Amino acid sequence: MNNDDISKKNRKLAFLLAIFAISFYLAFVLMHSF
Amino acid sequence: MSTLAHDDHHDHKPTGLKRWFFSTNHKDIGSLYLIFALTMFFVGGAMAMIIRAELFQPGLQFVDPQFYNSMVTVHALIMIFGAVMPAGVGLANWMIPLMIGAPDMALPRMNNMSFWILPFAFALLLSTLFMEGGGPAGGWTMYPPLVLQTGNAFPFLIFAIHFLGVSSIMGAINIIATVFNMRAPGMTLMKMPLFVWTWVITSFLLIAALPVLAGGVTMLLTDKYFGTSFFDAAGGGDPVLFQHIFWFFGHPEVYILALPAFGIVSQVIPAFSRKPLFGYASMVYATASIAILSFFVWAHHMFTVGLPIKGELFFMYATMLIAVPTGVKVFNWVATMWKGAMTFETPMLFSIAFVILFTIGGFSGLMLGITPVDFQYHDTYFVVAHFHYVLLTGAIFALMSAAYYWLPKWTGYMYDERLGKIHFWLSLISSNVLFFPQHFLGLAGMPRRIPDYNIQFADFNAISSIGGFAYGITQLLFVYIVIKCALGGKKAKPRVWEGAKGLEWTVPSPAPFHTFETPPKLTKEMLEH
Amino acid sequence: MKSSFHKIILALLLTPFSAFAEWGLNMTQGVTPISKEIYNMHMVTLWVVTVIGIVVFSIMFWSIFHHRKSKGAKAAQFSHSTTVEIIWTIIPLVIIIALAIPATQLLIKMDDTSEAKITLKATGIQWKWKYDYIDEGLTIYSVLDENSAEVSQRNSGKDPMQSENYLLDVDEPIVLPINTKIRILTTAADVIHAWWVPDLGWKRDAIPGFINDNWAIIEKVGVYRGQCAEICGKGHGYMPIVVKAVTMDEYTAWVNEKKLAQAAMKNTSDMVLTMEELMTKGESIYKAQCLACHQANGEGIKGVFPALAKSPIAVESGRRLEHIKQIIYGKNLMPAFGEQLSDVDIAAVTTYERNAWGNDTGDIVQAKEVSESRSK
Repeated sequence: MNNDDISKKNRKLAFLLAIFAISFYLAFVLMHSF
Repeated sequence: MSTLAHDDHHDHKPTGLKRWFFSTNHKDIGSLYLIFALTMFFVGGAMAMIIRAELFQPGLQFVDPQFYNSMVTVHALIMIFGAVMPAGVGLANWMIPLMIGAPDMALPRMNNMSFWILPFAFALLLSTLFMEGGGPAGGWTMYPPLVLQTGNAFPFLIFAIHFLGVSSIMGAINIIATVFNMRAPGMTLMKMPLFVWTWVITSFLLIAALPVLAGGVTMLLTDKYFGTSFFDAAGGGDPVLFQHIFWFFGHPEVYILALPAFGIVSQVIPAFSRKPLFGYASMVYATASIAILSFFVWAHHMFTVGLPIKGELFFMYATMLIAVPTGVKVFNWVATMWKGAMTFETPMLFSIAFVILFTIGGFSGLMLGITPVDFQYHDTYFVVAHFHYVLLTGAIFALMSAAYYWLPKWTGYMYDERLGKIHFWLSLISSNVLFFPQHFLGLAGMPRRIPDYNIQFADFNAISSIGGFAYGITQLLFVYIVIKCALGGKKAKPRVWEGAKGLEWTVPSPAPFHTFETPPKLTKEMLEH
Repeated sequence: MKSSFHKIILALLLTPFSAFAEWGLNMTQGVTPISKEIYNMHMVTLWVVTVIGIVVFSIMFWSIFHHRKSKGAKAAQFSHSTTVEIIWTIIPLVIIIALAIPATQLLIKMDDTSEAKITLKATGIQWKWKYDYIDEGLTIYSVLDENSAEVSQRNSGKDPMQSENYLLDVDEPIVLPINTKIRILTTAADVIHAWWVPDLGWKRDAIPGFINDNWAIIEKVGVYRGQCAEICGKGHGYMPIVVKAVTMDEYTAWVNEKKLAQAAMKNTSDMVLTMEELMTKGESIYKAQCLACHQANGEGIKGVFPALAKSPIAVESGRRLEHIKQIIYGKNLMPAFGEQLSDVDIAAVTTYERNAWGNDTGDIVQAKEVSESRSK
């Protein structure tokens, strides 16, 4: 696997993890808002 | 820095300010984190000295109660977010790519931002001490309604916390992506050094816990400025809701502080016992169990708020349960030492001390987990003793162990072993003089977070303060040792320590600016087990 | 050799560790059945962890001494043993279950507040406690005693070592009868506080807007002291709790005496005092109730607590009513004193504030004016 492929994989995984983090944030704020 | 760089492929390596402000190199960024952490350790330490000076004798001699409370608050915020966490991330940055045979971290530019957010965030936080009304003074736990009485400092506190969280989350994402995607061929997950495992697991904790803290402090901000009443009974809310949100972050947070320390000790003890880590697989599973369980125990910080009894019982059981995998780890370290051929250089001294003293902290932790008795311990110096045992003689001793262990790899020179041992023994004795009496103070009835106390508490406070001053001064010796090592000394070999195993010991000391630009071919001797 | 070994073990086991409480080393056994059970649970757990520690650390130290390279040890290379791992997972689990059972029983006992004879509500206020004897209609305010308040000022020049019950005494202790189940409710008026008397065995948070439910049966006559146990601002270390436990007869007598005094306090509006009397009384009240925030020199703390010295509200005649009403009703961070202080008390402290620190208005406020201000 060349470096470009690894970079792609890295960014994809990072994006997924960031979505996870942001969802946690929103869940905690929103679920306590109603 | 003395990390000389030369590599055939790259003829341009930045120098001067550009090198440090725009770095995308995991070694340089690691060094930035470590130097930053050491600096913040002294800033937070200075605040601790003010606290111990005021508590040295009954009566109020040096500061007024409001400022004292702000010292207590900011001391904790700095030590947790400015010293221990950045030091851990600094070690992760330096060592993970080396340990897995990767050329750098997965996202080097994001790595840079993760670091540079920190000085900015702490400038925000520390500036509040000079504002009218003073710095935040409601404890690092920031409970409402009290924290909402903070004056001008309040938005700065909240934004600093937001920035710190973003920095840590980005760091965690980087670590996971690096370890998942960039291991050298043949390095399966179960062949990785335990330090890498503990950091991967810690990273998942960070990603799940820090957004919750961010959510909680955002709600504080809206309660104060935008008319919400999340935590205000008059508006239909509940101050205890904040505590649930905070500790849902807060308990995993303390494992975020502890797990990397476990990883360090799991590298150092096998190296100096000349024997493989006992029960590698159990160590991985125990670490994962601790991490998962850490999400189910948060309310043990809240036993006295008036939870329903079923809740109290659940959290008591879950809390006591966490002692089991933790105990397993301790036994595994001892079994690693058993029938080894040990030598006791400074890194080993700090790691052995960690095992003993963290365990003592674990004992007081178990006692605190027993709910009906916690009604006496809660919010007393017994708790203060507990967490300083696990954080200072625990996490920080492990960080010191790591520093001594890897300094020769970073700088290319051996540190002064005689001075290192002096630093160790003075730190060991002074930290115990500082914190052991605090168990007694708590049992005898001294509450936390008070600037003055009844004369029955005078003797142990005096002893504790003397230990504190001694510990503080001793850490200056550490700075001297580090600087002296960076400037020169006996040249270090690639394999600095005879019994050390792992990929980082196959590269020269100091490690070149770029390493493993092509993945290494793994052989059995390169791996730890 | 063997017999002295046995003597030492026996001495250790029989040592009354509770006596260590007097040397500030151990928790108090307390004076309630619950506090004693809590103490026992504490000692059992302490012994368990001590024994585990001795065993584990002994093995470690033995290894450190014998398995060292300098002694010529050669490292073995074993790195796992499933049997051993299972054993040292099961044994701690068993120990923990063994500890959890009595802990559960104790917690269930503590949870039952039913069939109490007396109900006491403790309200935490920055920075004092207010007590309501619900069935008696009696209210007591407990504020740090004057001596402690003075000695604890920064660089007061006075020695805490000479102050009896420094920071652990109040102007008005609460009184409770022994051998009676008392239900103690905790709540707060502003921020979270916590009510803690170690001799009763427990503490409970006092949370604004919510009420927590606890109970105690005090078995021994005596004076029991405690402190606020949740950081609540600058006065957190200065709002102690004093409980005086007496016989039921003495308790009843005390309640009646206090109710009379309470009624009398409500009827002070006809009292007329001289300027000198008002200033003396006012200064005393100021020291006990106002000094913590507004400071001895009346200059407050910039940005946090307003000054009274040379302050328009204390000097301008047009704002006299506003001054009185602010003491009665409070404002922002300043609590309301209207219930805690009588008309004559408020008259005195207002007079003091309008004349001290060079304010010198010459204003005299009498109780009647205060009483009328309450309805304005």
